[in-house]
Amino acid sequence: MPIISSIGRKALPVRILIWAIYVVLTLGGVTMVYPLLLMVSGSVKGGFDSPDLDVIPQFLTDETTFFQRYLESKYSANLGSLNDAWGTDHVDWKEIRRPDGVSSSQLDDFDQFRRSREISPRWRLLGHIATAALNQRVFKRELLEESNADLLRVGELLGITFRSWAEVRPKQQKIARMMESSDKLLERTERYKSSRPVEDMILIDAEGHWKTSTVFSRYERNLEKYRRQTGRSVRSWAEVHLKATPPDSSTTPAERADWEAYVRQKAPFAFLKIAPSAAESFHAFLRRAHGNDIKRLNKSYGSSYGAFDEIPFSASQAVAGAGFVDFNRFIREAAPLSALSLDGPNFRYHDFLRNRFHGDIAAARAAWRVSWKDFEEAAMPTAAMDWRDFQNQKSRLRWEFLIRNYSHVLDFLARHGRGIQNTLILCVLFLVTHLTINPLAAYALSRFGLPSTYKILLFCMATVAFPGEVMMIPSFLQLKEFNLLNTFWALVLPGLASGYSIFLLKGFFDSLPRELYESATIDGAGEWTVFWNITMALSKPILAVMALSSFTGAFGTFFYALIICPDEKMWTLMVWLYQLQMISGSQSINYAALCLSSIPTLLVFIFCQRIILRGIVVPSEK
Amino acid sequence: MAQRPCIRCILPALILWAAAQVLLGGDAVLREEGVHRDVITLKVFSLALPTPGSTMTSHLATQEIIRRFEALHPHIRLTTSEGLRIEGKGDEITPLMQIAADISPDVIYVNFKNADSYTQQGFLYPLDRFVERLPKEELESRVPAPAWQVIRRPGRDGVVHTWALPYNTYVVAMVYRRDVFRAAGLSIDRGPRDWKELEDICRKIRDAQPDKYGMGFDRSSDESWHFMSFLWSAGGEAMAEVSPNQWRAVFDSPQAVEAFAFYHKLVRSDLAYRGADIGTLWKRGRIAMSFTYLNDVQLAGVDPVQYGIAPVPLGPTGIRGNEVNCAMMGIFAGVKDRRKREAAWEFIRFYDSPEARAIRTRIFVENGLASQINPRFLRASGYEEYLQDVPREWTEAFEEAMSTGKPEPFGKNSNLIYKEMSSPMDQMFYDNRMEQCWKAGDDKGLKQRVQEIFSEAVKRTNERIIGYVPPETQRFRRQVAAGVAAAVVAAFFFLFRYIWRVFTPVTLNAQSAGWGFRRHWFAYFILLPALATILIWQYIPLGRGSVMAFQDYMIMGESRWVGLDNFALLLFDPTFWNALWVTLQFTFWSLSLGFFAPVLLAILLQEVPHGKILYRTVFFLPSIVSGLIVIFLWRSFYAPDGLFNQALGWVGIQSHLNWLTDPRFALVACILPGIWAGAGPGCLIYLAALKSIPDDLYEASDLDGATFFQKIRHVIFPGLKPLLIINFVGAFAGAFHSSANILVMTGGGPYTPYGATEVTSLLIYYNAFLYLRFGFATAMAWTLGAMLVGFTVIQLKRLSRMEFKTVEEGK
Repeated sequence: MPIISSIGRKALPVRILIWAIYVVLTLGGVTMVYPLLLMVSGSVKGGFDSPDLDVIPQFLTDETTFFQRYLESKYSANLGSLNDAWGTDHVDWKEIRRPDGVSSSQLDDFDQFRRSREISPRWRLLGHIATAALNQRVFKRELLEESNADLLRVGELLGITFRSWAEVRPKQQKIARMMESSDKLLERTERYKSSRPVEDMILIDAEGHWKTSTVFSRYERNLEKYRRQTGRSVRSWAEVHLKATPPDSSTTPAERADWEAYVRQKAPFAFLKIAPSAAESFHAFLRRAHGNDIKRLNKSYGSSYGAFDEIPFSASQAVAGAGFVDFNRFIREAAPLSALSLDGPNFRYHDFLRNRFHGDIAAARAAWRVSWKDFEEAAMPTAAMDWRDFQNQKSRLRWEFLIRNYSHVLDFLARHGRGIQNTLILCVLFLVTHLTINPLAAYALSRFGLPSTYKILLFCMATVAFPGEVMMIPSFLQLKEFNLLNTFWALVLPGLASGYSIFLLKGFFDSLPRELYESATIDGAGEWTVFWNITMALSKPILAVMALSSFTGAFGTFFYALIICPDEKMWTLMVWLYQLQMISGSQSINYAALCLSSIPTLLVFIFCQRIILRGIVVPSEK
Repeated sequence: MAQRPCIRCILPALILWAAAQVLLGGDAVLREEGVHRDVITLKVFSLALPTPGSTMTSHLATQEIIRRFEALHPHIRLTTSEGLRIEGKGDEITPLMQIAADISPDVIYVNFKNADSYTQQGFLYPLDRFVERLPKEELESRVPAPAWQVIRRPGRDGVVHTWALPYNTYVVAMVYRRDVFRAAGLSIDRGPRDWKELEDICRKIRDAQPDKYGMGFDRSSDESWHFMSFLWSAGGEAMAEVSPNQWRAVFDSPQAVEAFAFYHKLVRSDLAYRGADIGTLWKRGRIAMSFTYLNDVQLAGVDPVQYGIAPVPLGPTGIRGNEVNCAMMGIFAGVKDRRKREAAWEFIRFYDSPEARAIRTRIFVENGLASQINPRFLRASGYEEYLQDVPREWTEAFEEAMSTGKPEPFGKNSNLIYKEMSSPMDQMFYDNRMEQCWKAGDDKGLKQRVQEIFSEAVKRTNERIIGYVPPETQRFRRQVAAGVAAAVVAAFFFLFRYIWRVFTPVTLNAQSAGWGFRRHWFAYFILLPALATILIWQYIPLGRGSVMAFQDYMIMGESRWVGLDNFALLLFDPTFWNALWVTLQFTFWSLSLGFFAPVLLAILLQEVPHGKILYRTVFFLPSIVSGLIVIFLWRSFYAPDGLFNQALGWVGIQSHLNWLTDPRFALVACILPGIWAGAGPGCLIYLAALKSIPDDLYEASDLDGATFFQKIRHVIFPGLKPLLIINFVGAFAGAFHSSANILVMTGGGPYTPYGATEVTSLLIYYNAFLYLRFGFATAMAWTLGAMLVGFTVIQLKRLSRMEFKTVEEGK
């Protein structure tokens, strides 16, 4: 019953008092809800915005952040990849703003271009493939279906021994000067890629890659320095353009050097065109490098060529390792410059535009209000296109970003169903043991009036005075001596009996009316019937509270489960969630896992509050 | 009612199913063990095998190396026993527990800091016989010069052996955020060259954006790790080997003073942030530069687009003090099977062999990450043309460090040195004289004070690390310890006699004396499971653990009996007494601030006419929110620009205090989160108790015209009294044992020179699991336990007089 009696409640001072209580409770409540909201908000974020502390994730309210979030997802959290595609030198996602200055008809045309056959699959990367992102999840789901959820089978399909489902993820060639090998996983990804819409593709621009890999570092990102050394009067990096063929003598030596440095050292083979005529000088180069001794070459390549001329002149057919190194060195050092040229989406785009405007640059200028002097200056409007894609998919993206981390966690748990089973087993074991051993002991102490009752109680409770650190190592040793490691008993046995529970139960049993026992005994009931049908039946609320707490205990136990059961087969849900956090390395996925794992505890509390309150044992003076 | 039969059949079915699972599960494990007989199962520490599922290039390379190893050695099956690593406490505890239980991995992880204690504790098997087989060049290329002194040293018996072999070399460098540099108008492609430039850059960053800091230093017991780079760059040292195997702390040299003066200047001019939450600040882009370990793995971990790498800045005399560290492997001494040792060696040998390095290099190059490979390895694998891809600064930092690099302190007890050095550093930030000198701009006076504090600290450290006490002092200490022990034993004796009397029922008669086994066999029978459990899982471990207090406990091998020496040490250790004093303060504040919070909440909840259940649920929320978030949140509240200072700003007090690093407030700051989170769950029992107060008491007091507070005083308080008393005693004992939140919030600091939040349980934890001084830690735990026994008895006595009831709904 409240202190404020119901009679005086209408009086003004009493009302003020009640309102004051409401204010205090609400203020306190806000501080309680705040961290929960932070956790929920954190669980739907991406990588770059996860350190922000806000109750409503900014991407839901702010379009720029939403766009950044989209880009982070599309470019799979790889800012370098965005710079390659855009030709920018962003060093932080948060720097990126809405691109402007591109007319919508230009974008329409560009959209048509990017869907055309002009674009080689090698210039396109599949986007949204970082951990938890859509294309990774769907890719994995497809493989799950293909293999009937059998990891070994997936391994056979893809020719890789996977040790966990987390390892199954799309793989693609990187845009860099590297060996282009091929394997089943790459092929499978390629097949998957071809089924995805064009919005999901990252179009890598040779010009952008040239800037990020060569130009920026050569001029220390200093436009002034660039103008000084090349004599070009460019106003921004966007006006610096890459040529497909070696620049002619009308350009400055610095510009020629920029081109050559890129083509020889950095340009990926996807962009590099090598005239077949250079084969001769390649073979000459190999002869020089290997002392004109084909056996020596065969030995270092592990191959069996009959003569130098037999060695294929292509990067993709080079022998892995030494063969590739030789080929690459040839491009770097010995290939005639005239045999090298570049190809890439941006060059195709120039051709596309030439076709579109029949070679009339003035028409293009008039139609799109651009200031190109010729078609070579037309850069692909990739950034603007990204913005438009983003605008078109907004509502779908919002939903996707909200659920992606949760979906990832649930997928992970579903694939480790054994964890759920183990948690259940543990919960049942905890429940059964806690609800028999402690009540039995308490019953013995309460019912029979043992002369030694209090000595026994003292024995049960005296150990609480000592810090747990003393017992930590010896109890672990004991588990090992009893051969209990990696069994559920190691988690159950040490906590089988709790002195405090016995004490509480005994106190409660004492308060039950004696007359019931007496009449039952007179009716000829055995000890067991008395215990079960009278004592236990009358103690339901308190037993319910104990059951709930042993449920939450079993559900949440994970620190000890980890040390005591290192065998994966024994891991519970919580341990798997912990494992997920370790491998994901992403704060937002961690928060999603934590949110999910706190749901059972919360539900138990919300729905069982009344039971808990009824079952709490309150001491009072005798 | 319809549900009842359902529950009745589901529950037994569930139980049966669980039982079947348990039985069958155990069987499956057994069957699997029996399959491979000639195959050697080699357990290696989990770090050595890449996490399943990782797609980091470095892990791909390791996977490839492991695959090659397994192909070469089909009779060796690799497993890992640790399963998972637990951050925080578990990191140290798990390997130790496994070693203690003799289920340790066969190949164990060793680092510089713990190399000596692992050797002295006898965890490692000497590798000499194996190392001899390695070609000289290979050995030289695998062991960086500074590492030799670490791995080749005398063992327990004083004979010099090689104990571990490095497999990965780390170098400390500076990492900086390009976005912050750009925003400050700095070149984003290079870091500071020397101290002067470092200061300039920090200032520019501060000037451009007032909410950013140039550098960040972790205010924890490892703070001195950040300082080491300055100390070495100034030409100083933390520890030195004065004679073979005799290590002394020497961080009181003029160079150390110079280095600290600079460090102090950075922090005090607000150029560098000093706090426990630098990790968060770094991620949020509020700190521009930080020291980091550099190696192939580490660099792959940060995005080169967003982060730049630079060598540690040169000191005033042009010296660069880079730390060199190695991750190393050793063979666990408990491996008895000769074939298994051979297999373990094969693994260690192959893991960083030229072949494995070639594989690693190839995978990196093929993944387009040649720039992240150590130039040395690129050259060795014939990838010379990629050398130019490696950032110039990185090559510089790396090679610089390899030639002039300093190994992390590795001597006897060197795992203590960071903590030992962090305390005086901390102290100096709260020293009055330092403060005056700083304000007056008195550079000379400031350095003099630094010198004094460092000298004192070095003296203290040396005493503790060397542990040398003159014989007569030792004799005296032993006598005192014996006296105290006798007093404690006597006290215990009387206490137990008293308890025994209290708990023996007053109504003694001849019949109920004794135990009455025969008459009450059934009662004892059903008591047996509970009593046996408590005996086996509480008393026996307690007894076995307590023996440690009288030993120089060794996890492996024979422990030496030392009698009362641990207690003697304890009684004369000012750190312990400080910790005890802090514990009392902690207990006082937790109780005075925290004890009544749930009571108050319960009373308020009782008063509101509507929304009880909603409020109850809301106040329960903190207990389901991850502790991690709670800590993050409160740390950000306590930061100089956090909620607390802002709130002070609203009422007109300008404050930029970092509450967690201020010795006056740190302790209370550690307590508040616990009180906040505990109020909701804690109030439930009071809510129940309030319901048990009979309504007529309220009505009667209404008739008497009692006010709100009079009713609290005269109706509620008497009604709750029994519960309050019991809970108070319980909360007291709980607070006494608690180290909740402190480890993560402050790690025991700030130190002035003793830790302002270093409670006894934290000290026990540090001693046991960080310094492996189990005997000492147990002695401490016992002393603490002995002090608490009195309170526990009072609690039990009270409890035994109470009656327990649940409260009927609807009252």
